[in-house]
Amino acid sequence: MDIPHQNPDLPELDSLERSIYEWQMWIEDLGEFGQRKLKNSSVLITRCGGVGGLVAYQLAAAGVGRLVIAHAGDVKASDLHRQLLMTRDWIGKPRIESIQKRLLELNPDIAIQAVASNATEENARELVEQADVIVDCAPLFSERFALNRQSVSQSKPMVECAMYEMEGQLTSFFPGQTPCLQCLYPVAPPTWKRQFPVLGAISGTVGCLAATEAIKILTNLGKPLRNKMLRMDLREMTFRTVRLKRRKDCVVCSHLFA
Amino acid sequence: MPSEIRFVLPSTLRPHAKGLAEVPLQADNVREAVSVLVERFPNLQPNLLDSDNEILPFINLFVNQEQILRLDDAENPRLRHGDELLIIPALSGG
Repeated sequence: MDIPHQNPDLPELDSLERSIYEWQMWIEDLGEFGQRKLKNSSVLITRCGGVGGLVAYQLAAAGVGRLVIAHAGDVKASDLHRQLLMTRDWIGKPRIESIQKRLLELNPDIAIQAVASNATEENARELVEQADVIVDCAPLFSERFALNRQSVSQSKPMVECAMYEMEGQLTSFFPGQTPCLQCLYPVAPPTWKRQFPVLGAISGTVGCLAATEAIKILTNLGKPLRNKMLRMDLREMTFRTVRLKRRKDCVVCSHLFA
Repeated sequence: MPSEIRFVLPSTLRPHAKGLAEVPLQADNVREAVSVLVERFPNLQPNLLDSDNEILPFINLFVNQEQILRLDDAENPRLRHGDELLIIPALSGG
């Protein structure tokens, strides 16, 4: 049901925005009120490659008002098959510039806070402070764990999405209500490598689903993967949803349940 | 007679199980099922279990939809015919 004037603090939509988002606002339980919530929202995406690039692209298209993007390094030829916000003419130049350029081409109305570094223990707090929801797309567990700690300490939801080869995984963490990332993986696998087999269509699929989770959380639409994980084997085209348990001895979030 | 169950392995573990995505076997409980699995495919042992024979902290095991945190937990379900044991590893591809 559409309740456009329920919260007068939300920004209004102009006529162009009503046209752009018209079909999206036909979705039951989203409507113009949900669209105004998206316009008023901010999402942190780190990093913005094969998964995160599609998260950012979909959230920009959907009209999320502010995106905080963290991604270091320069565009490489080997990025291009999956990192859809990187362009061939930008090889050797900063990825964050290509990301910003592509997103603003799609939606010049959104605000982008572009950070030319990846998430670290040092900057995670400041990155998370700037967003309502985190979407964790980092390729290294050290980055993911840094974001998870800040998600818990700042009590902000984190959409956790990851893939490998033809498989993907997706869940949403709500501090104090669900397990956190280190309940799921108390320790990072020592054999995980920065470079991994990936088909762009698979990382993009996971990214689009993660964007869906973020939109659902921001607009109270549907049921996010709360205490659940979606596991996809896209080689077999099998999708399983499993229930997750928190760990009572979790080093990050157990104090929230004491 | 032990229950007929099947393990579903992620791609990261399949090379240690002769490339199989699914492994059917017979077992009555979770501990027994894992023991039979690693007995059949010894290369899985160091990739699945720690030195205490407990599931590694970056591997998750589910019986049907339910997560198993410890192999000998008294709350673990008794396995029934047709149960699926799903192994989900820690992934970080982004």
